[in-house]
Amino acid sequence: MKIYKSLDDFPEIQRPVVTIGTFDGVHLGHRKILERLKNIAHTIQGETVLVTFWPHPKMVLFPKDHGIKLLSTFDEKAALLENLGIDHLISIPFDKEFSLMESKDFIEKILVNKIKTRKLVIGYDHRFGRGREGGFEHLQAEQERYNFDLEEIPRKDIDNIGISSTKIRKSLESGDILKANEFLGRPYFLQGKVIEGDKIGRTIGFPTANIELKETNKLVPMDGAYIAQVFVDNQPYEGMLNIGVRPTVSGNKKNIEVNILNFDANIYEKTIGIQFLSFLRPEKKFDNLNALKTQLTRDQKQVVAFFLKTNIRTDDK
Amino acid sequence: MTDDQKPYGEVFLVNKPYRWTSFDVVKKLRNTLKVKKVGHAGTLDPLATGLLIICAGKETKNIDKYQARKKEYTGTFVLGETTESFDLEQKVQSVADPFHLTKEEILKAVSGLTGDILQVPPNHSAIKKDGKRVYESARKGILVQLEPRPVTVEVFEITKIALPEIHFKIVCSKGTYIRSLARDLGDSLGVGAYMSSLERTAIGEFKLENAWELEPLIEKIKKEANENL
Repeated sequence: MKIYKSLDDFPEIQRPVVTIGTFDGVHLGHRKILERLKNIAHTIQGETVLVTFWPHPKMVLFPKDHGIKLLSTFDEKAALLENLGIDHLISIPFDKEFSLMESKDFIEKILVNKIKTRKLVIGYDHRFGRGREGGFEHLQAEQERYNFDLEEIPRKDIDNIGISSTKIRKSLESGDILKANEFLGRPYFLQGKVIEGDKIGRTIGFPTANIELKETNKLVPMDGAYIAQVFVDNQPYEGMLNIGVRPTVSGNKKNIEVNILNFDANIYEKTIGIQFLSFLRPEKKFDNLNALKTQLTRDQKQVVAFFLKTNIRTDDK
Repeated sequence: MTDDQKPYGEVFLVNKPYRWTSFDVVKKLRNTLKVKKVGHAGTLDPLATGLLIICAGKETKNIDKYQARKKEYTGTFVLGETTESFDLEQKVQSVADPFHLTKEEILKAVSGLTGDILQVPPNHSAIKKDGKRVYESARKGILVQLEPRPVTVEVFEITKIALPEIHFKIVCSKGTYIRSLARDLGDSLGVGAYMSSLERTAIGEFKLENAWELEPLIEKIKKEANENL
């Protein structure tokens, strides 16, 4: 997949089959559109093009109170799209000026003149152009003049499966990992650098890697304990993850830390990946470190049992 | 193999490693011994540790005899919460605050579960009903109605109370489910309970303190095989 961070870099390609959207999380609903895109490209021997915007338009338009957290960083989104076999990803830098472009200009200048769209596939509810004025009906009115085909993914195909990035965000924010993962069609994922913590965990037999997110806009699931798969140098390990302020050790700053089972290497400054597999329990305050240790011992057993059951074996017998 | 003509047979007392299935241990020993017939006399769950009796060669004929002996366990129950499997293989759910319970109330409930009792096995167990393992149905959310079975709980001693956790020592007959004792104790106290840890300390006259840790046992077997070459 080729990535273009500016429209100017986009070359002339064979029969572009195009879709537009933020595609945050690249969930199962998105994949339905992308499958259709690929099918058409295959039939007409064209190439697939996904036009997206970065940063997320809401972040630019409502910088103070957009409150939006993303399911995927740009790099994660690009990797997911590449895995799905998309040929070209155009990321249009979204700024105030771009946001003022009228929908007819967007069609003429970008879709027609620049990308030379042959076929456009778009969700029934997709809006574009200044103040979200443009939609399917505008494209329909213009398609004959500009000689491109248009295909709408109908409401029933999008709404009936009931999947949306918003629903996934809400599930993650309420600890419903199973539902989020079902909608995503994969485990929710984040990555970050391992930084120095206060080293209290190791005193009770549960050393943890403290994780600093690469990007602050990435959504962090609800506070609590989770079963996670941890990737260090692309190797999978079993993990017990905690998100929260750690009330027992009188913390107040939100942090993400993971106890990696059967692991004792020094990984400070390394970037590690986390897949969320299941929610264990909400964060709670314990009377003392000993009570916390007892709880962590039980949590860890659940982690072990989970991996035994799902047969994601990371150790050798 | 040695040059004497007696058919091979051996019994091993092993401390099952945490997170290994009982069958993992059998497989490991089968591969190390290079003997086809190897079996264990009574399953221990992956999350439990403790004594496992492994029979190899002609000793596999005696598996039933070892299995029929009474078992001794130590472990912990958590009161006030429960899980579908009554251990940590399933999600923990709160039931009721256990902190009001007195030592007397707990001991009274325990004595009600001591002696010759009828016990319903847990729904997440490997027993078969209508040809199917009941845990397979349980994992699909179907709870099979299981018949109570007579078992004997010879000793049910509470060795420490540190609510919400209680520590126990149990001596019981073959076929007794400790998880069922957790369930029934939780029901009897009205707060729910699950088993949070378990170690098997004896099978009949065989004691855990005389058991091998798996790794040194494997080393020993390999060393002996080399000496006999």
